Amino acid sequence: MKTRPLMHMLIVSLLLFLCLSGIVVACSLGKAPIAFDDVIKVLLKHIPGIGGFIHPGNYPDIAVRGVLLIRLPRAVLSLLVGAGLACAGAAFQGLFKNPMADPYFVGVSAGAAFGASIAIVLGVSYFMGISGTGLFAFCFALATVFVVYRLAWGGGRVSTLHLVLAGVAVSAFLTACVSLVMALNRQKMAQIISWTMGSFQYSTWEETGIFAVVLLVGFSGMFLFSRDLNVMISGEETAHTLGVPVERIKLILLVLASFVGSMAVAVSGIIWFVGLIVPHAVRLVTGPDHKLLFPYSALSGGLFLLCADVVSRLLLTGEQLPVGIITALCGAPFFLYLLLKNKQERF
Amino acid sequence: MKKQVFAVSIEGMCFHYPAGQVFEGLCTKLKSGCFTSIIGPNGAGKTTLLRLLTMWLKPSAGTIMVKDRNIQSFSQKELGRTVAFVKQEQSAEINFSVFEMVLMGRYPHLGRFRAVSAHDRDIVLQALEMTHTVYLKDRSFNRLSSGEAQRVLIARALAQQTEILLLDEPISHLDLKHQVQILLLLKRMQRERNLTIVTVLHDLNSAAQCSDDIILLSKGKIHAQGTAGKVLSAENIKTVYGIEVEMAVHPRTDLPFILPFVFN
Amino acid sequence: MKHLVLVLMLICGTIGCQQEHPPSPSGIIVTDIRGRKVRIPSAPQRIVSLAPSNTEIVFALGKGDKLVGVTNQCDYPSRARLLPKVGDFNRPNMELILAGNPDIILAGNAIPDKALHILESAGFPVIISEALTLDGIFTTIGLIGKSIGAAAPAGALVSDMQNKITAIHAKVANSRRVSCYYMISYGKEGNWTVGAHNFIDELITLAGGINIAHTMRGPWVNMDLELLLSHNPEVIIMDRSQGGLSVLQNLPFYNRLDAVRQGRVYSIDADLLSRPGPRITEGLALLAGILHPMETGE
Repeated sequence: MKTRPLMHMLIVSLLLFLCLSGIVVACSLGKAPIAFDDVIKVLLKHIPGIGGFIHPGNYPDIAVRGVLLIRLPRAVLSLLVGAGLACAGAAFQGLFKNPMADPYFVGVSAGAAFGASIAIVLGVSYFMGISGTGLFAFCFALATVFVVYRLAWGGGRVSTLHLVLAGVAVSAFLTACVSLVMALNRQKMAQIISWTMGSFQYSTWEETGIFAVVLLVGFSGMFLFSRDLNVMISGEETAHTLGVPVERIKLILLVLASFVGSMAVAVSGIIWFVGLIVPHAVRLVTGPDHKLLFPYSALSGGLFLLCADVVSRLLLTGEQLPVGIITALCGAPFFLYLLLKNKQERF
Repeated sequence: MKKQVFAVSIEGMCFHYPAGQVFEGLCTKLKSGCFTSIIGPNGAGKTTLLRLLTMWLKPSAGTIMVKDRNIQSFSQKELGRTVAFVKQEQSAEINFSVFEMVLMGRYPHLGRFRAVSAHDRDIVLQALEMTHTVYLKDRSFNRLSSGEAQRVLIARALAQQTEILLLDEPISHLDLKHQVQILLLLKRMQRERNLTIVTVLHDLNSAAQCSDDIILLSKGKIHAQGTAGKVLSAENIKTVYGIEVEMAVHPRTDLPFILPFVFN
Repeated sequence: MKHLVLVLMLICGTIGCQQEHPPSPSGIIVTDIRGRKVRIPSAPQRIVSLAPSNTEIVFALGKGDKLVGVTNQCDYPSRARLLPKVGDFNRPNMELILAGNPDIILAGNAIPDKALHILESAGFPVIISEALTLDGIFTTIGLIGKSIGAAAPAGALVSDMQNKITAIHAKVANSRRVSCYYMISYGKEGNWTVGAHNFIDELITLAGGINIAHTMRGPWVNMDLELLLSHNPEVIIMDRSQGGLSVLQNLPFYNRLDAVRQGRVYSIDADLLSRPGPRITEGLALLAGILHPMETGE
């Protein structure tokens, strides 16, 4: 596959444009009666430079509150989380050379669920817009990854097989712990389950800002190691003989991807399938080159989750579906379609 | 530039896996520009020895000198520019094109950030030409036959532009035609580029035909090292492999030819 | 590409910093049940209730016509079922609340912290008003009355309720206390009941009963089955949606309880007892009738 930089720049720009317009569309959809041009005015007002041309008072109060404080943070956060999950998933798939790898692979989801259950039982409240539950989830998720890494470490290196095994074992243990916590605190059980199912319903600007920073750092880091990941596809020993610092890369990517995954769980609960499916779908189009895989996955993942979130809040009247149900329902069949198409092309 | 006599010299090297000791006080020298085969039964430590030469494994004692420098003084990328390693063709589903695969051989020179230049592309094309794989350059790696894949991996190693080329059983899984093809390719590389080739081989006769130097390993010790005539004797083979063989001489090359026989 | 991401982040940051607030209304400041001081308009015209008990109180104070949004669980009075819904009491829908454009929101204890945070930053006055004790119910009614411009009806309602309670209690004050168990759930879901510091426990006492979990730390208690069996209450009260006598008669262990064997298991509309609102007087009357049918003339 020849890399044609110009073509890829165009596609990336197109995806970026789709993401931005997706946000605008998401801001204009909802049950509260806000006219489309009011949405545009509110959004434009807050872009530095253009904002000066729009007089405040040109749009009703409900537009401001609805767009700026309820719809926009939710749209932006779902976009960013989708991007983060897709990148982290791509990184784990590249690291482990395992097509079933996702951002929660080494215990992030189980650790986060356990942390959240503890926080909910203790009744930890939020501060500065970050929920205490989210904070607990984040810390426990990272701690779990650390434990898994230490368990898998031996003889100066970490074998990916051991990471997987340790991750599975620790995750199973922590999941059992969550069940135990729920059994001992039945009145909180519904709350715990509802948290784990993943939702952007109460997204705040504070969370969005923090996640944006984490995503920027995480994505940049992962993107920087694209070439290394490409070489590592031939195996760790081969990559080593080609000069790739394999152990260091594994650790750095593990940290970056786990950070992004943990933060994603902290702000929006556990959302399956995005990190697993988006990189695969993207790979069918871009091939295995990580220099393309990361940016394309980020943009596609963001767009996908943004759309899924909009659907989840509009599909049923008066009720919001957990966004993970939408991602599964849409993601799996679409992926099957791409896979079948690719199989036909090969033969 | 003074050319060293020995590309690799190992002095008093000890290494052990958690399961048990492999090498204890191993000493040997590998001449530059020579084709050296490492033979021996399974578990003798052949692959381990190669891995110690790439620093994938580190000895617990002793020194390994590469080009008259302690191997530990090399940075990983430097070592990647000095020693290339070809494993047996890998079975993973690799979707990169052949050209992209061979281009990865330039990593020790490019590092993480330097852009690929026309010079690098030329080197890749050269490597493809030498291994007769230019016609495959745009094909996906996972669509190659075993023989083609092995040649591509050798091309990648050539793109690394190293002085030393290590191979781990490069032909054990290939059919006769491809076995000969690869061995001829390696001999040509040795001649044309003055490469030091160190390869683990299972087939004793191939080793006999190709090697300037043969190391017979047994249980982590060098049982014998030298020319084919010296190393490949019936007694050595009986001692190390535990089987009876008849020794013959290849009619065309006058090199030893081993004829194992199976009792009925 | 990195530049584009940076610009995106800048936009985020700028938007985040420029939250427009509606002009602050002149109004009054009330202190809600969590000690939060909230500024509210003096005569709210559009009320959203996020707890069934709050809905009942608003209607009882004669301001039901000002309600523009209630939860899916608000089913009393029947008019409430026709009102626009804004989600569940523990998962209110921001969008629907926004659509209702309320000038005051009466929330319950179950409101998620983040939802509260978002509603506050959107400029909605939110008052948390859900009681856990009997006195708390009177305080809540007073608080809501003050907040929605119905302070006088609130005072009257509280007096009325207190009179009714006193009257009912007087009938059974001298009677033997009947041991009673309020069964919220049973079986695999656990034996959840009310403990101390729970208005339902207080109501049981006022009705001439004694809650077998009275000494256990509440407000909710998961009672060990063996403990329940050893206490062996004379009367079991459960909600009519939970099955009732016939179910318990067929459950092992539960069918050993005296109350089950003697048929003294009563299925009632538990909302009368469990909603901290104006209908607890009805619940109390019902309970007293069950525990002391002779004294109350039931």
